[in-house]
Amino acid sequence: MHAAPLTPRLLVGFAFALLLAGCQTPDLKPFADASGALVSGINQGGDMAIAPLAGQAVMINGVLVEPGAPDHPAAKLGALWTERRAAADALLAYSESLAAISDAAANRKANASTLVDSVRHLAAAVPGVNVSSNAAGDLVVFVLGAGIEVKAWHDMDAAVNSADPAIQAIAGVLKQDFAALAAELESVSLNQLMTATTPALREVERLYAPVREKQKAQRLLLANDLSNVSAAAELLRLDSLRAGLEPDLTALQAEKRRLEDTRAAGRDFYAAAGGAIDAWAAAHHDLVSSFEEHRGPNLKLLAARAQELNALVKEFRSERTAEAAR
Amino acid sequence: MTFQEAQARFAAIVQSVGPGLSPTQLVQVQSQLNDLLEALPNTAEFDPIVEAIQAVSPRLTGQVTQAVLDDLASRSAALAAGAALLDETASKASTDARLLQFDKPQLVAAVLAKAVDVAQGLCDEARAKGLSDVAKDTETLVVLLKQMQSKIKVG
Repeated sequence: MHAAPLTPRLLVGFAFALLLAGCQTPDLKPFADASGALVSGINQGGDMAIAPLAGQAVMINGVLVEPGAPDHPAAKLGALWTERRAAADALLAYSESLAAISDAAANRKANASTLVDSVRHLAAAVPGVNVSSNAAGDLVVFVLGAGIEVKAWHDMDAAVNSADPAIQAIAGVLKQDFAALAAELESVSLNQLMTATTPALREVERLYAPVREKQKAQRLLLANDLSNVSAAAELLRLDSLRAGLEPDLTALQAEKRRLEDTRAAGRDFYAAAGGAIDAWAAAHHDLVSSFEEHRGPNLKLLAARAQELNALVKEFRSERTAEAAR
Repeated sequence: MTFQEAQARFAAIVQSVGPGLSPTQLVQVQSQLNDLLEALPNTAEFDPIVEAIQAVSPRLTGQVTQAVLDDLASRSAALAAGAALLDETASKASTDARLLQFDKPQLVAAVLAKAVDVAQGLCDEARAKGLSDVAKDTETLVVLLKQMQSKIKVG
C-alpha cells in the first residue's frame, strides 16, 4: 500500500476534530512570569523583616536577647522562612513544568518534524510505505502535531487539577505569613523609634529650640544697637552652640524619616504581596475552570498584580544596594 | 495635654494588652504608644512617660516576635504538605513535557498510538456517513501509522 496523498479533506477533518475537542493548550507564560515575581516577593519579604530584627535586642519572656545571640528570634524566624523559600522553589518548579508543556505544544510542528525524520528512517525498510515523499511526511507531521496538542492539553489539565488544592493551601498560608511579617517589621521599626530615635530627638530638640529662640532675640538686640558687644558675644556663643547641635539634630531627623519610610514601605510591600498571592491563586483556579469549560484562562489581573509586586521588589533591592554602598 | 492625661492614656493602652492577641493587634497597641509619644509635649515633666514607653516597647516587640514565630510555625506542616504535592505534580508534568519533546521512544509510540486512534475514529465516522473518499484516505493513513508503530522499539 502507498502513502496517502496530503488531502485538504483529511487535514480539515483533523483540525475540526481538534476544535471539537477544544484541545488548544493555553499559553502559560504570564502564569510562569507571575510565579517568578511571587517567588522574588517571598524571598524579599523574608529579608525585609528578618534583617532589621536581627540587628535589635529583643525581650523574649522577660529576658533581653542581644543581637547575634544563638537564641535570638531572628535565627528562628530565618529558619521558618527557609521553609517558605522551599515552598517557593516548589511553586517555581511547578509553573516551569506547565510552561514546558506549553512550549512543547507551541513547538509541536518542529518536534513532530524531528520525529518524522527518525520515523522515515525506521520505516524505510517497510515494503509499500513511501514515507520519504514530502506529502506523506507532511501528513504525518500534521497528525503527530495534533497528537501532541491533544496530549499536551490532557497533561496540563491533569497537572492543574492535581496541583490546585496545594496551590490554594500554599497561597492561604503565604498570605497569612505576609501579614505576620508586616506586623514584625512594623513592630521592630516602632521599637527603634520609641526606644532610641524619638527620645534622643526630643532631647536634642529641647536644647535646640531655646537656642534658636535666643538667637532671634540677640539678633534683634544687635539690629537695634550694633555697638552692643555683649549681645554680639552672646550671639556668637549661641551660633557655636547651634552648630554643635545641628549634626545630631539632622542625623536623628533623617533616622526618624528612614524608620517611618520603612514602616510605610513595609505596609505597601506586604499588601502588594498579599494581593499578588490572591491574584495568583485565583488565576490558577480559573485555569482549572478554563480546562473544564474549554476556554482560555484569564491572566490579566494576575499580570497586573505581578507587575506591581515586581516593581516593589526592584525598589527594595535598589534600596538595599544603596544602603550597602553607604 | 496634661501629665495626668498622658498618664491615663498610657495606662489605658498598656492595659489593653491581653493574652492571645495576634501580631497585628499587638502592633496596633504599639502604634498607639508611638502616637502618644509623638503627642507628648517636649518638657522634662513628661520624661517619666517617655521612659515608661521606652521600657514597654521592647516587651511588646518581643511579644509580637514570639506571636509571629508561633503563627508561622503553626502553618509549617500545611505548607510542607502543599509543597510536597506540588513537587510531585511538577515532576510528573516535567516528565510529560519531556515526552512531548520526543526525547524518548515511548512517546513516539504513545503519540503514534494516539494518532492511530484519531485517524481510526475519523475513518469510522467517514464510513458511517458514506464519505467513501475520506474513509479511503484515512484508512490508508491508519495503515501507514500502524506500520510505523510496529517498527518503533520501546524500552
